[in-house]
Amino acid sequence: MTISLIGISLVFVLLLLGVPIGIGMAIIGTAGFGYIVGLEPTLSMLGQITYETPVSYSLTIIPLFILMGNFISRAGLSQGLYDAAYSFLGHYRGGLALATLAACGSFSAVSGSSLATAATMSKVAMPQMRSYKYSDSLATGVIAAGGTLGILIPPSVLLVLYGIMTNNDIGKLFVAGIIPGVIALLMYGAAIAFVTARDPQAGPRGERSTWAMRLSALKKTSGIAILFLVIIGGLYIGIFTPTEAAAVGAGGGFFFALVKGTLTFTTLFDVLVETVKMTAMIFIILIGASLFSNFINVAGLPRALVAWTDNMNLAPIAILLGILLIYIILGCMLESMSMMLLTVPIFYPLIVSLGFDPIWFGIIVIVVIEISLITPPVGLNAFIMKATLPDVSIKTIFKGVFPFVIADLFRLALLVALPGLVLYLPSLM
Amino acid sequence: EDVTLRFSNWLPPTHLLSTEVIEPWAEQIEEVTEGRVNVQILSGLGSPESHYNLVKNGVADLAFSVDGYTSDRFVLPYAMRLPFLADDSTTASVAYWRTYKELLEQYNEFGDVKVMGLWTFGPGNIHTTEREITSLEDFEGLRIRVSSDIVKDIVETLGGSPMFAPASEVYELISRGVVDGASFNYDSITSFRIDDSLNYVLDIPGGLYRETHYIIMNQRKWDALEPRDQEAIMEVSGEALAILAGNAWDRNDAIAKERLIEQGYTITVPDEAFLQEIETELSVLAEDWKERVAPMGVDGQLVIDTFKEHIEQAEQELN
Amino acid sequence: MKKTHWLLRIFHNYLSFIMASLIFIMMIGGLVDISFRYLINKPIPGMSELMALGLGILVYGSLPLVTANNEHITVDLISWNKNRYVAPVVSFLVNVFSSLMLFTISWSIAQVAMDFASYGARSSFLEINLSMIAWVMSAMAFMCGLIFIAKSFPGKSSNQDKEKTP
Ligand code: NA
Ligand code: NA
Repeated sequence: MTISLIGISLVFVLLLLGVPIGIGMAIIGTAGFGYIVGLEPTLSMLGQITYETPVSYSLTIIPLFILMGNFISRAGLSQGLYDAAYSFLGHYRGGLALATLAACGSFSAVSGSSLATAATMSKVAMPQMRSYKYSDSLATGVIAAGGTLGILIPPSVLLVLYGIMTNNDIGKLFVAGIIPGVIALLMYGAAIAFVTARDPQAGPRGERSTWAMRLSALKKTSGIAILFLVIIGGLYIGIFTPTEAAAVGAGGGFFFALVKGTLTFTTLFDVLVETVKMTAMIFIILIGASLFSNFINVAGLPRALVAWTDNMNLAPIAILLGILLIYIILGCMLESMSMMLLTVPIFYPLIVSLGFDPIWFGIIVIVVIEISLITPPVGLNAFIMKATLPDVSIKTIFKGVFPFVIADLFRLALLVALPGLVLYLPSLM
Repeated sequence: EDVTLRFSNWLPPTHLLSTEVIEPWAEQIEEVTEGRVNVQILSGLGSPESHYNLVKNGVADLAFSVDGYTSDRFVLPYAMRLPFLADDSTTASVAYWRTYKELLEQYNEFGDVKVMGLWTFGPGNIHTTEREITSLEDFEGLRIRVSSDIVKDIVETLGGSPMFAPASEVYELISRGVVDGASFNYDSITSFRIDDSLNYVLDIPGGLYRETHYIIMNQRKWDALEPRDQEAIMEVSGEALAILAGNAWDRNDAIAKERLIEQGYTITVPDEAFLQEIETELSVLAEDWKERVAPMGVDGQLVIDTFKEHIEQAEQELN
Repeated sequence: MKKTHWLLRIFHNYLSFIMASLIFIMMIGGLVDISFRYLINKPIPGMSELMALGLGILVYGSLPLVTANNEHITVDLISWNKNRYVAPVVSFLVNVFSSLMLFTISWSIAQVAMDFASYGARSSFLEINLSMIAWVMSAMAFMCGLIFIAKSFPGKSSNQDKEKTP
């Protein structure tokens, strides 16, 4: 326990010094593992993790969805989408942020990953919100938070992982994510309303569009609509797997950029280089997080937490709240995938033995992981925003995300108080 | 003083191998060594394929894995996975362990680790969503998700098209119809929760294949144990571990099969002529394997015959 | 990458070009694979394997580009560069720590490469020499470490470059 806490503190120190996040976690993860297990095995573990983490077919979904987003924004398809969204919602305060939210929600129905959703939507939505003079904090906040819906609204890579790890029906888990996803959209919308009510300059009103303008704007979104339909339809009918869908999406984005005539050799090169660099930035963090969770794993932190919870001898709901608190604290530090891999094996048996529903708990875990993606200091979605927008400081992003974290906490409380919101749809299956 | 061994377990903690094999075995070790040796089960420290290396290099002290995942390293166990050999897991598991001790151990394929236990799951067969397989033609163009080399070889030989995919994608691939079927034992159908999408199985007597599994221990950690503890641990390992795992698979396969039948699952048992055709087609698998191991100085036919003899013997002993 | 040596610049451009081509080929590969699976009912054997190995090279090959352009994701909750005495020290420490980690990663992947070579590990479909792939990844991690070292010396391309030119 002590050594894990020292490790966590040291990671904080390195990150505050400005060591790249993935590298900082890798340093402490490796050093800590070495302290416990010994030098030689640690170097072997290091080789294993650093080699095999990126050599993965299923993870090719990440660069391909990023590539799709980059093509879409380069083709100007996003411009059309946002013109349309603006024509319908622009005259409300924060209207374009609401439109971004809707776009995040629909993109989540295509993407199984929150990182890919945030990365794509940042490419698509950010230039528009800037051109309409939205504050950086609101604009980045809504994308980072909206992006977290990628793992809640089906399909979801993490829900599949949870289903496999805990032996639960993945179809039911998927369906269970729908209502909480809609609730999230509503609550995020409320957060936008709240922010813009306090500071109208954060999301200025636009002019009301006529219906003729709306229809003509809508027509220009046909490209993106086709792409969405092909991907969603293809996934749900079973024409392809999520990874293949990502390849199709990237290919489609390439095609539209080509057709629009916006693609020269230079812009194509820029799009591709930008994509590979973002991929490397994300993967070095994935690698660092895996090393760090291996350290925490052998240091026995998860085990110690359970022992501690056991000793308290409390009512089930109190233990649940304790676990959620632990999740939120851990979530400040850990990346989503490692958090899942690390905690579910420990907490799941405890939760089920206390009589909570396993499908419901899966959704709750996803919601706390969503929160972890946007809480400082390690909030991957916030980092994705930072990666795509180097001139915005991470402080601004975390500030912008704060109202959405509050909305998430309300949603978490609601889902804990009313499990029926999660379990109603799966009960119909 | 007391020793704590780290068991890196990449399986879900609710998997039957975790609850009915690894955990009970860990408890048995503590019991028979009167608490001098403790086993601490950790969630996996690497990918399933990496666990041989993790143990060899002392990252973990103990691990379970599937040797089919690294079939270029483990060539010999392929013979245990061949078609038609055993109707249940327990006899095949016991026979595998005995064949290993009698013949395979001398070739030292496991290298610098201590082999604590070997077993097989199974029998595995091809399950399909929409097409009932009643003749060789039905295999033509069938897209099958496969998990290892033996199934890939079988599907290819029979004219289907194999598709490798990780376990985490199985549900999606099958429920969305990306593949027409998958290779499984009965328990996996229900534990992966794909019983809604799959409807048919071609139930080959003796199984179309079975997967081979191992539990290994870091050699230095093993050598450092007191002789009395080593002896006590081997009492509950080796053949005892094969029986523990074999029984767990058989028990759960039986439960799953019963449930599937209740749900109206179609279990097709091939008639004599069809079976004969399949056997003829698949005989090439054993031939190819024998050729592959010949340069290692291994008499492949002897290995297969010995495994068969042990299966027969185990059948008599256990029933 | 403003005042870098012309040799480095050429190298930077070549590496960018190779990585850009790689992601483009992976995209095309994925599209061809799914087309084949539906048109002639056969996936291209080993395509997924090729994509996985491609991603491994893509990640490590792009890491030097990210490093050279100061684009790593960091927690900039404290702006050290505002203090001109502390800034060089912090920047030096950060780059030295980072380069040491990258060298260690490079070394450990080299061990993996040698282990692969020891039993002639090959990918299951296309029989690609895995040791070779691991050596490439190791070399790229090493290069990334070298770039961090170069940056730990104050001067032309230090960490502060980017903040000055938003
Ligand atoms: Na999703
Ligand atoms: Na966080």
